[in-house]
Amino acid sequence: MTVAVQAVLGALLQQPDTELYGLEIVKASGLEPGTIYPILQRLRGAGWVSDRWEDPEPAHTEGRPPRRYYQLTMEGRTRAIHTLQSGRDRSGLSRLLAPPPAAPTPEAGPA
Amino acid sequence: MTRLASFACIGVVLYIVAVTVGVVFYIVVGAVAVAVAVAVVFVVCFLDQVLCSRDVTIGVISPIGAVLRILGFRGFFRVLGFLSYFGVLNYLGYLGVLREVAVGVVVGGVVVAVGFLLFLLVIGVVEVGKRRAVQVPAHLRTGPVLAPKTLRWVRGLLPGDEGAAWLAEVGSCLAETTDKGERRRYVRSYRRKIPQLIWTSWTEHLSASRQRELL
Repeated sequence: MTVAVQAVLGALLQQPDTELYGLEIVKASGLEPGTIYPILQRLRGAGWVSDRWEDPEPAHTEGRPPRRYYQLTMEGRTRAIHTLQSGRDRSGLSRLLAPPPAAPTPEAGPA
Repeated sequence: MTRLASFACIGVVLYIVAVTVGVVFYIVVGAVAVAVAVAVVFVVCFLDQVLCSRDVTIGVISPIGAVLRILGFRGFFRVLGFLSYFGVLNYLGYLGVLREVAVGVVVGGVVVAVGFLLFLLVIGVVEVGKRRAVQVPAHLRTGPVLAPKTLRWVRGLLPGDEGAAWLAEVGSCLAETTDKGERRRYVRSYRRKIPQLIWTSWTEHLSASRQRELL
């Protein structure tokens, strides 16, 4: 599995219960938009990701074109976590899935 | 005068025969070369899809996929360099074989491509006028195209409704990108990935068609 695929899966796994559209995945994964589309195609073909088009009405109300939303399927979520956490992943899954580092707490006591 | 006309006619006939033989030679040589190339690509693609489509671990399960990814295009040029090192290319160049093969591949490639497409039509892998696996809402097919003109030509190269879906997604992404620099960067990114997009779209399409047939 390439680093780019891992990045897309990591982006989708950050909010597994939320549907993300292309631009959100671009920003969450740090990849270029041209890169993520073929990856999402492959993931969709493998059944890891489901997609749906937004209804045109709310999009027209907001003055923008309809978005295409992606979400990991249950199977995809399980397999993505398993694959990313397995020994085959040597390129920083823990970094992709880890929660953001906590802010440093000021030390108590006199300086 | 009559004799001269006869010689002229014989000359013309010989010329036509020579040209025909030459063209047939190019077509046969080129067709064989391209057919082998297409067959290899098709087999690799098929194996890659079959072996890897279940868990998207290309490069891990499929040894062919792994080798292709490791070697890539650089490997191709390494092989060329390897051949050149032993003077193989010089020998071929001296014989003019490369030029013949190049012309043959161009001519034969067209023949093979048309034949290959007809073959796919006959066996039913490619279906003209039928809805493909990708379900796209009607308004995306009939609505205005928001993607830049420099990307619209890609639509015709993708199978079924995939082109309309891709263009709609490109338009959606760019419409929500207000920064001009970022927008240009995104367009460049889409343009740079067109070969990969075409490859992925068609392999996924063929794989999905095959699976539908098996079901």
